[in-house]
Amino acid sequence: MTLGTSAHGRALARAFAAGDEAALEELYRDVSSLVYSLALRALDSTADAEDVTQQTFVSAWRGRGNYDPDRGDLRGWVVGIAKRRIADALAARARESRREEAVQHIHATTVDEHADKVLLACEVEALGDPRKTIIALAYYEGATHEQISQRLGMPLGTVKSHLRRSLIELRNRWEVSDVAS
Amino acid sequence: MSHLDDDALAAIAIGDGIPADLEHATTCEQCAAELATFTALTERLGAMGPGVLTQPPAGVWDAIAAGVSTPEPRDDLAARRAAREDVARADSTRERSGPRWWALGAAAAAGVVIGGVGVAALGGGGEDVRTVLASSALTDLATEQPAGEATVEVLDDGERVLVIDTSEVAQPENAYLEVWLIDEQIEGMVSLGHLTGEHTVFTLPEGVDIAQFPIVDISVEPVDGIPTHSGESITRGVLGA
Repeated sequence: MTLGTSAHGRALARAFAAGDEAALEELYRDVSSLVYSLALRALDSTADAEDVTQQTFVSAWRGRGNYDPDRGDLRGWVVGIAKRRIADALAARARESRREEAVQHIHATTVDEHADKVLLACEVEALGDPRKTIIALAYYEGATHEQISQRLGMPLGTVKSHLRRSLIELRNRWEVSDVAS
Repeated sequence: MSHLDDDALAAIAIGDGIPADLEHATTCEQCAAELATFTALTERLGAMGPGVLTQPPAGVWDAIAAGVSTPEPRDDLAARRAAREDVARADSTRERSGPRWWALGAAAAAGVVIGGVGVAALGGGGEDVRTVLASSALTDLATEQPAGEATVEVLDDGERVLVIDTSEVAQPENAYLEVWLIDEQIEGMVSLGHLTGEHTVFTLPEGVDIAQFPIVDISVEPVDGIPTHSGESITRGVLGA
């Protein structure tokens, strides 16, 4: 995800803070799968995950006056809201089941574990093609560099170069998102 | 030998390193640490598998677009307050909310006596005609003991007020007591003002529906300039849905 660091990301963040509805739509395109996946994994319910996603973006929009584009990463800010909404949904469930403490203990750890995975998956997605495909083949499917080269019809050296550049970019983004979250 | 650059480190991490670089990484502490961040990354990627990211259904955006294109109601304090709450909670520099808040919310939802809702005329036709819309016993959340009563009344000029009668709440040091109406989801809330004595009357803002915000909450607010709820609720009651 490039929201925090690129010139485009900064422009989007400023437009969002200024109340541009088109910026909200773009933000949604960039971050909704991240928010929805976080919610889906934590809540294990598509209906609840949809509610959380909707609440998160409506809350972000209504609270945009409190977002300072010069101070923080917009994605990190939205993810923070999403995490609270997920916690709210879990708390509401716990109130229903009256097993608050047990559930709270579980979700505090699982939300963060899910967040780690989902955030990384989102960063991979943001690499764009062909890098996200190469990463998926290499690490999700365990293909060798030679196999990737054959499947994509791409010279072996180019595959390796993409992998190296992808790892460097992921590491850089990860450091940024660690700071932001 | 100079330290390894990112490209050389990434090459090692994908199993394509040059032998001399590999050797350097085993002897140089700084490069070994740099390499460790790359290998940790490849391990996380390897453990992840496909299908981590799921797109929300198209209807979700439609609902958001509908939600934000509706003008925010002028008196929609709850929405603004909820948004501010989210902002405050999302802000890592403010560690003001936490499990305590939710634990108390659950305690209130589960354990507090539901107050009666009804309309009763008090005062019997004199100058002091009040209509009680709702009332609730207040409970001290620490002790579960009765802590007074909250009553929502309509004055004869139509103004709605929340009357808090409590003798049990001690004024804290370096802090003040704030009175809130909160929704059942413990998400939206409306601040009514500061509790200053045993009998305090708060005017309800127009548009605040007590059916929507039935929980009466008294919180301890440190004098820190942060306008959101501290999370330290001491007394609750529920006006009824």
